[in-house]
Amino acid sequence: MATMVQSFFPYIHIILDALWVTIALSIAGFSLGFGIGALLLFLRTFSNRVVARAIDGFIDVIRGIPLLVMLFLIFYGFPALGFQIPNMLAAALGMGILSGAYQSQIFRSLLHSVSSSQYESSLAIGLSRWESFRYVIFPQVLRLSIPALINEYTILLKDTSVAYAIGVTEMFTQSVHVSQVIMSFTYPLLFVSAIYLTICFSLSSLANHLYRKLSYGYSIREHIGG
Amino acid sequence: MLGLDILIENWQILLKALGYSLLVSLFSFILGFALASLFTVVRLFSSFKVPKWAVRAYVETFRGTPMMVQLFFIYYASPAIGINLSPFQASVIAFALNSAAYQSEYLRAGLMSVPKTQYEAAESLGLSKWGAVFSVVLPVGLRASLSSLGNEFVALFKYSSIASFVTLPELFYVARYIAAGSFRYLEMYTVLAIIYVVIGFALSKTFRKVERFFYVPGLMD
Amino acid sequence: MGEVIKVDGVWKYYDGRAVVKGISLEVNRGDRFVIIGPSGSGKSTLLRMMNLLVRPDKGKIFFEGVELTSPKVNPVEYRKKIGIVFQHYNLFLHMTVMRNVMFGPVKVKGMKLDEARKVAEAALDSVHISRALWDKYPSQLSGGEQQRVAIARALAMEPEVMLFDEPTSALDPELTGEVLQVMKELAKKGMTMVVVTHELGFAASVASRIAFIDSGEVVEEGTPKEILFSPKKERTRAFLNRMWELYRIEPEW
Repeated sequence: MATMVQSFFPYIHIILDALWVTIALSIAGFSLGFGIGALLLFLRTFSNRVVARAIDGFIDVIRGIPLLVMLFLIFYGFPALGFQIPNMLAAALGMGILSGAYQSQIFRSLLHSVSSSQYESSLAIGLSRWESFRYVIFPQVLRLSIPALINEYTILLKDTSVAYAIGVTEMFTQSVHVSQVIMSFTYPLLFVSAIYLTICFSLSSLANHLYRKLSYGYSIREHIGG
Repeated sequence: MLGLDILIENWQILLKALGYSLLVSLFSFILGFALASLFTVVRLFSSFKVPKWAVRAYVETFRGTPMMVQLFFIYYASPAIGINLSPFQASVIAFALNSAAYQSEYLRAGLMSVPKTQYEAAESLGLSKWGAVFSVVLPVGLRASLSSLGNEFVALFKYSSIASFVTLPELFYVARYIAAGSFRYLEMYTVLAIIYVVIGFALSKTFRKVERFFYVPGLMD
Repeated sequence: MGEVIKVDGVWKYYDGRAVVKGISLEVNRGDRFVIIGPSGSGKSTLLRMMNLLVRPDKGKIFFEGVELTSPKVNPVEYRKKIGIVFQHYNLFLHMTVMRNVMFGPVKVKGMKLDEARKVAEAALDSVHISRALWDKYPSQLSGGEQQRVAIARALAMEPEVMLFDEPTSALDPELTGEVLQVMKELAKKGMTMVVVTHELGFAASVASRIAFIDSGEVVEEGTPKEILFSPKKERTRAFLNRMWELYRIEPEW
């Protein structure tokens, strides 16, 4: 037992170095998702009923695709269309698109809590639709979304492990590689678990604290992307 | 054209693979529900601190680590302590342990949404504590968690794709095999995405029917 | 002797603060015992102690001579004989009106379904809930209707005594009448009742005895005439003045 732990020690830094890949990937995916989510919300808010319905349908379809399938579609499928994408970029794209669908839903569920008179009064003072969305509506929605967005980020952080499938050398991938070298999965996997847990637990405690502080009735319903 | 022939050529093995995906999801959902029920009882009704604390630690741990890690741990680390699991067993156990954490959160939230006065009213008619829990708190609380539990099942179905990493021949595993054999990656993965979306929709629709069956005006909306 | 409920020197503390301070009183068979007093005076707590929904920290509660507070007695056995009606009705949300009323007889008394249905029908008729509402859910009823169903639910258990915890104070003013009417009819049939209320009109016309409670103590107890029209204590007088004032402000149109 002790020798197994010892054999793992020299490789710890490999896993720790990959933590930055994990964090970079999750932040890239989250940021892309944020942009897509906000854009979808804007389009949905200011389009007629038919277009809004179409956007909702599109979001539902995207949400139905497992992350793993999305990553393979982008990484192995797109080259057939003539463009090859590096695996890290493919992972960020796939996670970003899925997260965009989820983030737009987070925003949408909170849109109704911003009163419509806010929109009317911003139009009345002469702002354009885009300006009233950008400066009046969205900031209010965003403020209420913060806890849910933090939870969404923790989901992305955990989901970076799926990028193992297309060979991104993030933390989980490296822990599997180390496991194969030392021929034991126990300690490397326990070690990465502890890192994921520390980050996710701190963030979700923060989110819960903010939920209570903002204390509005938004249900803490997490999604998992697979 | 465009993947349709892939579907026609391979529909039998894809169907079998879909069966695996659904079976893994269903088994782990049910097992997860059983565990989650136990956890919820401990969290809400136990008068001892240690089990309560243990359940909380469990839930936080499984929600705070990736399902990939959990699955790899169950499948690849268990032989070290002398347990050898088949891919199917390992997947069901890993997903069930994970789902139990989420489901216990949904159950707890549902049960906690039941006003205390409902319990009081049952007690005032002469029902015992457990009588009140079973005939009043559970029917109302379970209805409140129904839609989250439905979403959880669909999420499990999508996540079952990672069971391919422990060589379970479910949808993703088989699709990958077909794609590699025919070099038609784009078509195969598009078809695969469509299969997941369509089955996911069908599952959600089924759950909505279940919800409608248990619908009570003034509850759940 | 006709004593149904006896409260003997009960105390109740919340967070170290006494909300009921050594109250004693007796409710006899056929009494319409009305408890009045300002909000937060401990009257609801006192009422809930009578069927041990709230357990007193000190003192004893007797029901028909049995000490409910004794550790040897299981209060659950006696609750079926003591009906209670809550301020917020507390109907079972997942059951229809009919199921709500049948619930007690079936689950607690083990009555057969068709038998329980007959009992429930009689109870619902007695509170004037029309047949059209029997298969509705609580959320589809008005507050007044819900409260009358709640009364029927308690009556279906054929209780020896009915406790009412501010039964009309959650209702819109135009709905209080129908509930008070049902309670008056109950009183006429000879039901033993303990009523916590702010409705002084109801107290004046229905009560056989009135207790005025303030900051956890019985300040004064007597007939409606004594308490409402010639109170001896200054605190009672001040409270009543405030209440009559509220009544007078009520516009007449």
